[in-house]
Order: sequence, then C-alpha cells, then structure tokens
Amino acid sequence: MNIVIGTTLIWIGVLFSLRHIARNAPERLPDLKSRTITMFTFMMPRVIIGMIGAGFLAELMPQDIVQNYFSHDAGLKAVVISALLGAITPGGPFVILPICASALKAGAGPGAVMAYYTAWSLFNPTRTFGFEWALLGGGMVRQRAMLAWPVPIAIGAIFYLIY
Amino acid sequence: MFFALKMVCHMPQSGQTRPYIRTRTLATPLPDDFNAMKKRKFFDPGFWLIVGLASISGTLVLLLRGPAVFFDLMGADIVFALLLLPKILGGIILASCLSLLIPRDRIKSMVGADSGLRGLAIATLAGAIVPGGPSVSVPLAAGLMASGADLGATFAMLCGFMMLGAERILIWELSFMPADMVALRVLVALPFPFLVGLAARHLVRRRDIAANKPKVPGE
Repeated sequence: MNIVIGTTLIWIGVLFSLRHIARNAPERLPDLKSRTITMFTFMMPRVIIGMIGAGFLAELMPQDIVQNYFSHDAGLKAVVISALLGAITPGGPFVILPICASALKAGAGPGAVMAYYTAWSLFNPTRTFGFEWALLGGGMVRQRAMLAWPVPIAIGAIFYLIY
Repeated sequence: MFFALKMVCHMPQSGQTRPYIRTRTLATPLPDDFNAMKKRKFFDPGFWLIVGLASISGTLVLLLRGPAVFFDLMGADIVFALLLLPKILGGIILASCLSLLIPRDRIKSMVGADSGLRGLAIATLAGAIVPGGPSVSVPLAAGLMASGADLGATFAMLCGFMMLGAERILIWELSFMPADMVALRVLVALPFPFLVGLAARHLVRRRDIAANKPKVPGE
C-alpha cells in the first residue's frame, strides 16, 4: 500500500513537471527523454541485483543474536557495537523497526537501539549499493560515510545519557 | 565529527582541482551534464561490487538454508524490485526535470556553495519532506548537485532524508516505537545534517585552498 501511495504522489509531481516543460520549453523534451533512458538503464540492473543481494544478506543476519546483544549489555560499548551492526543490516524499515521494537520490549538500552537504528538509516547496504553508489559514485559514498560515521554513536550516546 | 573531518582532509589528493567530485560520476557540477552518464562505463567497479555481494550472500544462503529458501527469496526480491520500478522511473524523470524547471542560478543561490546555513536548512528540509524513499531522494540529490547545489547541501539533503524523512517517521517509526522516543530522536538528530553539511563545506574549502596553493606561489 505504501508503494502505491508513494508511486502516485511521485507521478503527480512528474505529470505536473512534464506539463510545465511541454508548455514552456517543448524543445527540451527529447533531451529529457534521452537523459531519463540513460539514467534508468544504468540504474535498474544495479537496483535489482542490489535488492536480491540485500534479501540474501538479511536472511543471513542472525537477528536473534542482535536482539540478545542489545538486551544484555546496555552500556556505551553496546552503543558502539550496535552502531556497527546497524551499518551492515540490509533491508527496508519493515526489517529494521521490528528488530528495534522487540529489542526495546526485551529490555534493551535505548542508546544501543538508537545507535543501531541511526547507523542503519545512514549506511544500510541496500540503499548504499543499490541507489547511492549507482547514482553518485563510490567517491561520494566514501566521503559521506567518512563524515557521517560518528553520528550514530553520538545519537546513541545522547540517548544513553538522557533517555 | 572533527576526528572524521580530519581523516577525510588527510585523504590522498588525486591531483584534480576538485578531487571531491569524480568527473565520471553523474554529479559532475556542470549544467545539463546528465549526458556525462553516457561516458560512464556501465560495468564499473560499483557494479561488480554489487554483483560480488549478491553472489557471495546468495551462495551462502544456498549452502546454509537450501535451494527452496534461495529461490523463494530471489523471487520475492525480484517482484519487490519490479513493484518499485514505476517509482524509480518517476524519481529519475523528476530529477531530470529539476534543472529545466528551476534555473541553475536560482538553485545555486538557494543551495550553492555560498548559501550558508539557510542553504543547508533548505536542503535538509527538502530531504525530510520528499516522499518516495531512496528511489526518489537519491536521484533528486544527484539532480540537485548537477544543477548547482554544492557538496555540503547535497550531503545535508541526503542526511535529512535518511535521518529525518517524514514518510518513514510517520508510517514506520511511530508504528513500532514509543512516540516520546521518536520525538526525542528527531530532536536529537536535527543538528546532524547541518553538521555533516558544514563539515563537507569545510573539507571542500580546504581542498580548494590546497589545490590552488602550487599555482600561486608566494601568495
């Protein structure tokens, strides 16, 4: 259902944009078409292979071990380790949020859970390899990762201290 | 954050004047440069990395979980990717339209290198409110950069989408986590897209200065 809503919203935007261009600069439409085809053919195989790979990785992730770890150690060490685990957890929010929710129910430290969730938000392999790497290139992915890696640990530590 | 910045600043220079953007990527900051994609090799190292990861993890699933699980997972993921196809196509068309809809000068003044904190705020907000997930946000970030946004604003937009994405907060986070925890997470995460953006700008300035030094000896 979420996919349908998202796709509809995007296509409303697309149709408005195309109408605007067709009225104001119709001579740019062929250029737009060739850009879109180039980008789409470049991206699609990467997205499909990336998703298949992420599905396999998700199957191999020992989710119960991850949850148990959160539950038994809630210190700052857990914040750092859970940030590392979050960065390598593939899949969408439907994979990660049930893990976070059941870890919280099992008594996990909020700092560790938040570090895990934030690290997944910033670095999850599905998006990184399927979309970011495909479109922006490895150099940009590497630089963003090198600038953003302390963020999950910082957020986890703040939660550990105040929540 | 500063430690990370220091690490990046000491990355080896590639000898280009603007080494932070590879000329072969889509994000080459020249107008109408989506055509640069044509020059980009289809089977680049990124492609082989994705293929390698999928092959290794697929082999492990086949060996550890058996062929039934392997084919079930592969079928489900292919179906999911095909369901995403119209959304990805829409995202790409929107990103391609961007430079035609908003003049490059306007994008530069809004989210260019001299746009200051206001530019980072606009980029973060854009990342947070654009619906559609990575199939839309990442092409838009690439389109924005090709239309005149700087590296700081592009990273702020990506981090805004990743950490403060309204769609994920409303649909997913609030369904699984306590509301007060989600609210505090948003509050705590709010400064970080700005910090990453500022750090990227600082890095670009340092590299530009370093790249220009040999050309102007004595100054």
